[in-house]
Amino acid sequence: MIQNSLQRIFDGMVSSVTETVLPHVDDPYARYQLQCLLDLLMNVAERVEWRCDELRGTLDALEPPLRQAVAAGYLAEELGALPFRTEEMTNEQLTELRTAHLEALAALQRSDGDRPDPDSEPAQRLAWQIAAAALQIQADEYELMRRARIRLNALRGRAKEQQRG
Amino acid sequence: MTEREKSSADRVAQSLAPWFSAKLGRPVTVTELSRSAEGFSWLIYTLTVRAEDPAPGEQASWDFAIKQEPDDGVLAPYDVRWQYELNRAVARQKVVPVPEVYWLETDPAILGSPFYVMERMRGDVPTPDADQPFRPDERSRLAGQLVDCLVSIHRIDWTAAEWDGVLRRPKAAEQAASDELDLWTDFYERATLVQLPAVQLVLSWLRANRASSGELVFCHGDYRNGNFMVDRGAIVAIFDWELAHVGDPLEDLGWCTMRAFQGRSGLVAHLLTEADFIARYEAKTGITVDPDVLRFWRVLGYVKALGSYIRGCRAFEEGRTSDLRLACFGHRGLYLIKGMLDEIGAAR
Repeated sequence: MIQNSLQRIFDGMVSSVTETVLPHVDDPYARYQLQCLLDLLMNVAERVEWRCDELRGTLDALEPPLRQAVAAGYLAEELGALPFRTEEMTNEQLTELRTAHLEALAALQRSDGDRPDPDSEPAQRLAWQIAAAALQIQADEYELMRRARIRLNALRGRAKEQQRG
Repeated sequence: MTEREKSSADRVAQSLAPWFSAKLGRPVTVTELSRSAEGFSWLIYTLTVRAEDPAPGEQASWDFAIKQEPDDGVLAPYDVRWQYELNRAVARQKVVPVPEVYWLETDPAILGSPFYVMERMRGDVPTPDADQPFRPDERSRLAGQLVDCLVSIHRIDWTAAEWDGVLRRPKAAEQAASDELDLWTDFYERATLVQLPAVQLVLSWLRANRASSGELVFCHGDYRNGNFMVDRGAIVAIFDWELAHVGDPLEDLGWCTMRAFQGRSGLVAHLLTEADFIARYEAKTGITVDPDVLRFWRVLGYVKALGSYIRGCRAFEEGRTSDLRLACFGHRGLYLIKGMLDEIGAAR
């Protein structure tokens, strides 16, 4: 899971390029390209949110273990009242819910050694569902990174070919 | 970006000239100053100090390296005084090649934060994913040295009085795994911005699989490619002792043999197979390397590496740096998570 907030990533990209890259670029055309990059980044930043299908995918992976934990009474009272996602939720609501669900799952995972009945069927089922959710989320995130790398390599390759040609 | 990051080389050089003049007792100028692009913690500068009016036969120039405390970074918080004392104590052992450490400056008025000055070494630092700065025929000698230096570090007498209060240490060998697991779990938990369920899965595995070799040694704590320098086919310096402590010898072995540091070579530090590394270590120390104990430490190594990545993301998020390398750790950490899941046999 990307750790930084979307807006901080945009702001950090602009700060870094402005302060550490631009002062070292003397070519006027290259400088103008960089200035357009900064302009585009800030304009995109005003218009984007984390993708809702990715947020929904993560929430869908988290739902089975959280429902099982609620049913088995493994979640603390304040987390037991956790809402689940609905189709009407906005991106902002989905993002907040993802944070809450991930925190709730982490609380469950931290306390896995303290359960009084670790060999019972509900506890075993919960452990299996937690592992399945954790691995699913990791696999989905890894796939996004893999696709980004392929896309980056393709663009770099094309740029190099054009330079050679 | 912080004011410190914006410090231009010229400004740093100007600030340092009177400081070096006072230290060397003669007027000097600072030249050839450059900031190293390596490392994610300290600000590292290399420079040459030139005497303004050397007498015939007198030394006219000196090469130094400077490590300056950053605002924030992957292993924050930082303590330059402790770091300085530790490096001096390691240098006094004369068991492995390390840069000599000269001066500590705690006054932030000079460069904006405390720093210390050390010998500038000449050579290349091999890193996991770059072309390796050694020839194939130099590999065998370097591989032997890589193991032998670790053996020498592990033989440092950590019970000597000079290490009291300098190195953290467990109460007993069997306690080392719990202590390190608690330390790095806490470090990871404090840094995390968005919870990662796969990491909690691994932490749970670590709690259930704590293991010990039954030995305690002086651990380097970050012994790997990226933290040693080679020159003409030999290791000429070992750096980055900030994670040194008394611990299980297999902690260093697990860390050094992580696949994350092998690039695509499949070799420890691009030099030798894991089997050869362990065989040589066992032969030189008499310590038996149990695969299950090694696995525990290697998995904890991945958590340790990921914790520092996540700490970097936090520094970026909180605006204490705009170093984009740290923001990239947010997704590059997925490689480390895959590595730890592979180790425990859980990866998809």
